[in-house]
Amino acid sequence: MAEPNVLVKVENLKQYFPIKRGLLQRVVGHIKAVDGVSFDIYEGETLGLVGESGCGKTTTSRAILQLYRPTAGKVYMEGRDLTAMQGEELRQMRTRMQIIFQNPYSSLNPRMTVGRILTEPMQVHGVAKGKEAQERVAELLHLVGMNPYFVNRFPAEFSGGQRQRIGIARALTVNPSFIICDEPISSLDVSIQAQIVNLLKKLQRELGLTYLFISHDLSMVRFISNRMAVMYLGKIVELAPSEEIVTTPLHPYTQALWSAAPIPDPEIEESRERIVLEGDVPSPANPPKGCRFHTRCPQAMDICRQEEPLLQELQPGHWVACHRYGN
Amino acid sequence: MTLLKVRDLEVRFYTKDGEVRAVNGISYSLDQGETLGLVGESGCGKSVSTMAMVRLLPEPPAKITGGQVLFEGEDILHLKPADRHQVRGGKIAIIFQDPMTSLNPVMTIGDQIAEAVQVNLGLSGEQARQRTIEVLTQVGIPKAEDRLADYPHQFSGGMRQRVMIAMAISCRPKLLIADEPTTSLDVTIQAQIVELVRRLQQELNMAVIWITHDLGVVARIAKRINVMYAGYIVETGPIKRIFKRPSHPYTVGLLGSVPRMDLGTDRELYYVEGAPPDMIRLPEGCPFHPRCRYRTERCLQERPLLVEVEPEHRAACWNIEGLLADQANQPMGEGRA
Repeated sequence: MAEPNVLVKVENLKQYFPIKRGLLQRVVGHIKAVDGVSFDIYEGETLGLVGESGCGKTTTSRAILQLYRPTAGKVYMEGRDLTAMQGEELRQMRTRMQIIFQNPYSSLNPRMTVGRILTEPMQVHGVAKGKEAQERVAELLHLVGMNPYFVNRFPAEFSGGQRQRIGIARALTVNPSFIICDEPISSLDVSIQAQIVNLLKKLQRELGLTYLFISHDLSMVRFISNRMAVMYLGKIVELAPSEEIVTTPLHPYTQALWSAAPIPDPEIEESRERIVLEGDVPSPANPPKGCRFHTRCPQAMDICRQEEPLLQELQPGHWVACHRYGN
Repeated sequence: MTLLKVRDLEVRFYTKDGEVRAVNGISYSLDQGETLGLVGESGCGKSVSTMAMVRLLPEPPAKITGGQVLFEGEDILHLKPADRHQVRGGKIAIIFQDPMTSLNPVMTIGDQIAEAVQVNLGLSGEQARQRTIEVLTQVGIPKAEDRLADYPHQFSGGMRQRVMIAMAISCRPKLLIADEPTTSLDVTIQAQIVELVRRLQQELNMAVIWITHDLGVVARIAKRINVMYAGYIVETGPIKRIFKRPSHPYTVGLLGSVPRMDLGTDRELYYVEGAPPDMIRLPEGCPFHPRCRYRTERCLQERPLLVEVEPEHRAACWNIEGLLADQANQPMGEGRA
């Protein structure tokens, strides 16, 4: 099999946020939201990013798009280093990469009509204007399964699912090749979630899009992704093809996450044994020494308290950061 | 023994846009120690119907326009306001989705729980303190005695929900209403809370009404479920039978909409078309007909009542035969494989 094309390459990405205290707002420490993650996103694939709140998945996505300027590390899009770009050059790259937000209520301007929401990015980036832009709006609305007749309505007139469709259409206005979907379905009702996920899959097929799909809903990520990465406290602990990571998770945290995810089947749930993790996720301002998971890990060893495990490729395409494996 | 009996409960909201028909005559009963799941999407009436029972809805705009709720044989809907406290918070306890907004932020958790047991159980200060430590330990707060003077913000989300549960069980309730208690929590913490409630329920022989939109969680905790849509119960029965043989098109859609970790991904998700109805202008006939793939002429005119599909399992659909035949021929969606 030919090596797939790498569309986005993330190298040792770090994103720290300063903690300021006192009258002089002196920096007393850092929240290490993302602390050295590296991965590739292949052209045309969906990479799922899962983990619990505060693990750094959203920060990673913002840092990739340069919405935050990373503290360290590199992000390459189509081979070009985004962290080295500024101003106009970076602005032009934004037509290649877009984002769909979690909350379709707060991410659409309530005072703009659907038509304006969709034409503005086209004008800003010079994609289309005037009549051409209007035609494109109608085409986009049709593409996301909405009636083009709605162009003059305001976001408040739509349900959550419809607003998310508008959010998707807006991301598509500038013909991006890469879209970050940041929890695009978590604020929607179950029956509507399925509609949106099916839509995203359809758009990917038709337009050849590449997704980074972020969610805490494991079964949904697994459903949409080709490969999945699991994050814990600012680090990637495991990355593998979805089928493999679901059937044979190697990292104890991944195993616990899977086992915590309920299966909608009472017969299975009745007899299912759970790995219930003790305690909470430690603070990213002061992560544990050694392996960050050792404080909650049911299989922790001595070395885990001392040394940080590196992400290593155990089988082709299956990466794990755990001392239980390897040399 | 029957603990709770709800009969034809009807709740309306009177708003400036019109009359919201939030709950439209629902009936069910619950035995002592039993767990019932109330399943449905936002606005289906699952929370409103339970909050109406314990009179926690703001009235107005809400109004209970009909029905009866018997708790241990006593009509609790028409208690005098002064008597309501004996039931609510005492025999019936409630935990909510967001513990941060349901705990008092300027009161230590020790004082909050002690207040509840002093009022409801009439304990003295020291006894209340002992009881507080006891319940906090029971819900798994480590070193409970040292945490009495802490404020809610000093606890994490999962720990806060444990504090809420401790407060709820402090007065030895017979019924615990859990209104989406795990929705705002991470999966590993959600699993902790679900296991905790399961354990407490067995230890205390408490009945539980678990309100949720999450079919996975309900599969873990409930023996029986009511599926609600547009203020009606559209399907009810033992959870295993409903999951094996969903007999309302909406239930089929709900089950099909969730992908499963334990099954393949090589198909599209089965989904329900459209969006839930406007509760002010509910459709004529069956409330689900505008979104239904199995609708017939009759569905547009007449609202179906719950009828028996198999023992204890009832569904409200005019075209159950069509639905079941279709499912037998062509398994659809993930959950139906």
